[in-house]
Amino acid sequence: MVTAALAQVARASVVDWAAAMKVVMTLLVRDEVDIVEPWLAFHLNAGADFVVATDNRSQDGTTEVLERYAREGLVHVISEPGEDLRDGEWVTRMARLAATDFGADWVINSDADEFWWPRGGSLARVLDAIPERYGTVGAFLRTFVPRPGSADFAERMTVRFSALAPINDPSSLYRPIRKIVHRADPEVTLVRGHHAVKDSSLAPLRGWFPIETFHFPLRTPEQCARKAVVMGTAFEQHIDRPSTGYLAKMFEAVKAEAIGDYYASLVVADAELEDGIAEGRLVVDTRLRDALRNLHLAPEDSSRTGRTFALPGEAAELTFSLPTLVEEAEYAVEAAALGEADVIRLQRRLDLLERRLASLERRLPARVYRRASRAAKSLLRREPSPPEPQP
Amino acid sequence: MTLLARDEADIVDAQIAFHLNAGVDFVIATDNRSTDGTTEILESYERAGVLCLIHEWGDDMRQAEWVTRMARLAATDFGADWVINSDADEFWWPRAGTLKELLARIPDRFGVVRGCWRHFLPRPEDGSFFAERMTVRLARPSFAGDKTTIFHAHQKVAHRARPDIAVEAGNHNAHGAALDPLRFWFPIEVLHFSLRSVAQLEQKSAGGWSRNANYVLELHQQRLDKAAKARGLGPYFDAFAIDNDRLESGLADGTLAVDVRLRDALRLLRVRNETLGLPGFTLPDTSTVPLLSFPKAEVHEDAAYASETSALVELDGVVRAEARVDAVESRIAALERASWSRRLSRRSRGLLS
Repeated sequence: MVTAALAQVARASVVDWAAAMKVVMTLLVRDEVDIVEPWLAFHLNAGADFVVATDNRSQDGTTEVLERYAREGLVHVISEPGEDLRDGEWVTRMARLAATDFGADWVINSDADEFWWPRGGSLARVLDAIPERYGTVGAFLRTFVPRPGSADFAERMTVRFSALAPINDPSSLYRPIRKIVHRADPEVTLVRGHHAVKDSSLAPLRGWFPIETFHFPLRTPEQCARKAVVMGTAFEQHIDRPSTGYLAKMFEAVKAEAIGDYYASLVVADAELEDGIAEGRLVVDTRLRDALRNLHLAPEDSSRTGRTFALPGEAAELTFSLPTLVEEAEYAVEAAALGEADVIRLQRRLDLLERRLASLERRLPARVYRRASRAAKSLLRREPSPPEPQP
Repeated sequence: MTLLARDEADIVDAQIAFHLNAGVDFVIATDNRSTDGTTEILESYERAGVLCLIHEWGDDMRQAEWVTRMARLAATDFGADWVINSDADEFWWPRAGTLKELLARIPDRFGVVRGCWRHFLPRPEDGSFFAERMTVRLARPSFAGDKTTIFHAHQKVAHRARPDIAVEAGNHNAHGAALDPLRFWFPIEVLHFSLRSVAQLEQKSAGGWSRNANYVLELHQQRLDKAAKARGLGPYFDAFAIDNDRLESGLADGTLAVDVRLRDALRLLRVRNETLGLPGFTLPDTSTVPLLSFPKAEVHEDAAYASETSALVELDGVVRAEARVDAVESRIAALERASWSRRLSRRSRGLLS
């Protein structure tokens, strides 16, 4: 009996996970033609089954790339003409569609400059391993720094910031950030920036970050300037909260006609790279570059298919090996920065709450007085006037 | 490693041999009034030069005090870099590399590393060695903080050696100047074999904790004592013992897992001695390749482990504080939204009419 049960367990663990579960990614994109095709190709080869994309007013060829992959049956494109970057709303719409219309088991909500790297197996395999009672799992954002030159971003940007260098500046581009992946849910609501789900019954699996999110936010001076204007304008005109720290800085630079200098100040040149590595601030990381090289189609295949990259089955499969002890320890120690960042974020939220509470307290007595006296006056007016003295 | 033991002869030999082969260099042990042969086993390791033995005659289980004394000695007299505070029924299993390799990887700014308890359940007694018999692990421990059962999620700590360290009762936390915990990562599994046989339970229930006036008995300890006084510990043990039927259904619903890692490790340590005609377990010898190795787990096993450590992350104050900030935030938002003027004018009108 026991042997039978053990055999059953053994069988269960070799179930074809890829067939058993479906990973759908959502993509919100506007004018990111330099990165959108590598993005699609990478994730489709890394274990994502389908992409729901929202194309927000692209004019640089992004739309055409999305349409090409849509023709292959791998992408569903929503065209969103809104100028007001209702990011939370648009991503929520896609995440729900993934659940209702595209049979997703898990949903990864991404921007075009984020590459989701599974630590072992594939995206499907890692997510399939998560016990059923958990509904969300964290991913660790790894931000790559701009490097000199104009070559393709993945070839050039092979240096990332280490979370070992503690950053407390909330406006830094490199502060430790956690993203989340969630089980498909027709009622899910994502917050702006889709770092979290709102009012959700999905239980979080805490402390485990089986996916790294490689982030390439600033890639060229032109892209940086365009992003600064689009995001800055949206925040200034349409969004009811202060802009994210680094975006605000960028927009100020645009207004001061100094965006070129701003970008140049972030570029890590070779000399700085050497120092950064020695100090543990910077790390050379060629994983995405190598993966994309593997997926590059030969010129004749490229001109035949109209694609630069291979679809699953057209090139050697991407492999995501299990990290070694050394890698695991380094990763864990870096991820610990997320915990420290949580403490700092919490302090900041408390600061804000204290201010809001204080202003409520200040407002209260004045308003009580005003309202009460007005009410008293109106009451007095309604009272019958004293009788005229009788002659 | 520090080790506090009282009458644990069925397990203590294996416990020490395992850790010495898993990367521990030296053991400081406190023998608390053992009468079952535990003392002799500890003395044999002392003669081998790998253990310092302290005899503690107190009968009131001042666990925190005794463990803290050992942990400080490790720093002051034995040149320790890291200290693992263990009980005799715990096996600290590194999730990759040896304990020494793993702890050596921890950057200076972290001083406390947390291990995660993984509970092994008793199997019906057949007289065999505990590790041969107890190969069933609880895959869904009770929630952290559930003191009605010993089988709840909890952390155990290893810390950098410090002369001013203070270890809490139960070795769940350690405090010292500038010792920051490494959050989220629980790179050591603490394989826990707390219920092994009726005889062992009888010794446990007679333990000194009941004679310590300051010690508040945990609910699971109260239950054990009550059972010992009432119907005896046979039925109590049977209530926990996993027979084949329970194993089968537990494997099917995912609440139990078969885990033979410790059994196999101890077999390895025994075989060498058997071939040499020696009793007991093999001790490490710098001239030979280490007998034990700790390979990295597959992603499915990682996820299962993460689902258990997730409960421990929630133990961390930050998560609880976050939940409270969320609640306060929504209360303040509600206050801000509330139309004070409407409410107040309604109320003042009521007062004045």
